[in-house]
Amino acid sequence: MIEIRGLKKRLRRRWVLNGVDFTIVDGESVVIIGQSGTGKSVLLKHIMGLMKPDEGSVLIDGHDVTRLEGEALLKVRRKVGFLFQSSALFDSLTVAENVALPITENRLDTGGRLLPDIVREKLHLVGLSEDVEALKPSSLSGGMRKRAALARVLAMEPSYILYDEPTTGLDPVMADSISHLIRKLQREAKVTSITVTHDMRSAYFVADRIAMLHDGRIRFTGTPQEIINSSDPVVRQFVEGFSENGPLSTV
Amino acid sequence: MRAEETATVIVTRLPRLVRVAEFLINVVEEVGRMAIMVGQALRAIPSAFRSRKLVLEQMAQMGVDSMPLVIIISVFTGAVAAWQAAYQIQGLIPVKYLGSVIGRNVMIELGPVLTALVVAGRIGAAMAAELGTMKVTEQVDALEAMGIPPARYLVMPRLISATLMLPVLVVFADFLAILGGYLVANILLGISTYTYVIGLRHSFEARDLFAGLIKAGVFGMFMAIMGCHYGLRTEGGAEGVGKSTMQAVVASCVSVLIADYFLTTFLFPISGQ
Repeated sequence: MIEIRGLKKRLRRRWVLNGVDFTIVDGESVVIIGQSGTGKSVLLKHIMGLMKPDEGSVLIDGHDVTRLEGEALLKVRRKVGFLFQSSALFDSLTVAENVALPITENRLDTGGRLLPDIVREKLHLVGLSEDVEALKPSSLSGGMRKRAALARVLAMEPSYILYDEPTTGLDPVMADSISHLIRKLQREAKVTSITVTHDMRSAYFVADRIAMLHDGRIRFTGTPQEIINSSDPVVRQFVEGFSENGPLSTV
Repeated sequence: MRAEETATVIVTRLPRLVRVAEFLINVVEEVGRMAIMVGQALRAIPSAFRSRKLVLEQMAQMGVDSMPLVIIISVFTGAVAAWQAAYQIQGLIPVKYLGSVIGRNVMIELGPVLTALVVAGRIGAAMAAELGTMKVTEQVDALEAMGIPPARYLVMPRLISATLMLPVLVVFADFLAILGGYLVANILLGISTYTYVIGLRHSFEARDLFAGLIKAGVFGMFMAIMGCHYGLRTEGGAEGVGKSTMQAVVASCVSVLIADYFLTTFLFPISGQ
């Protein structure tokens, strides 16, 4: 379980997060929506312990990642996979080396299985063939890079996966296939998912629960159906995506 | 009246004092961050054997790939040193002692310092640009997210490689500079091979050579620290990478020259001082 309590973060003289309280239970898929610059990615980085808050705490299975340091923090991080918006694959390594990296560097127990077999299995799980193993990330399309990065995340066998705008920059068909992949992993691999996205089509498909971040706080939480039926003008304007005659500023 | 004047002086000087204080705080913060990074990298040294592929890759990049540059720089440095030495000692010392002058100068100072400055431009810039690009494209965050400390995966191999490879480059640089000096001495100044070699042997002390190599190791370490530090603190996009690269090269060269002074006074004490 991930518990976020009173999380506050000030960046460039502005409270990006101003008291976020939110709990994600094991096995569920939560989608966080909100305007650009509202701190969705900042929230994910706090969950990973990549950023330290000014106030508040983030508990992952009871361990407060905001206070952990060194090996203790790394140990908790290994339970949490992070799919970066840019994929963040290492340019100098091949796809197979990228996928194998968390296993070799963290000396993860492979249960006697050979590393190439594990790499191949993870690539198959995300829909990539053996042909891409020897390629460098620069040779892959945007969608393939996202899949390869997801295979690398899966190599750690995480209990939680955080997806930072997983469908951004992809064509609608590829975006839909990534959404299906997120759902498949949540259901079949029993991974708890937290997805940050602007893509409402993907959000409705992926989410058990949607939370809207606005003015540094969680403004709304509910099922996809509840958000569709919401009468909150801020929520309505965002999910319907109109730029005028609403409370949300576009400047 | 005097109190008012004092108050006015304080108020007018306050912004300057604040700027000085901010500058000093920034310097302390930078040094602190560097010290933490180096401490983490040193703690990761026991895992160097496990990361030998990374270390060897860096050694090849720093050593083998730098050789063409080192060859050109060293030969010409030796040649210039020979001509200038001949010019300076003419009328004071017989020119046949040129080998002695060049040999010691090259091993003590020219070999380590010039190689370090040239390699700092190449390797310091490459490290800062590579790590800076990794930082702005979230690859460094990805390492941390996978539970892999960047100090172990990125900094430690570079620190070990630069510290080990610069002395190796300096061995070649010393030899090539002495060779460059010989070419000028023999072809242009008419000094025979025998006289040049006798001059070299006359002044050669193994201690000079080893002290020069110790200096090179320390310069390599500073170069790696600056390259990694400025690379890993890159912010922004391409502009940030460019800025970090420039800062890394400047800081590497300055730190090499400052370290050179302290190491020279420590390793080559003047008797009676």
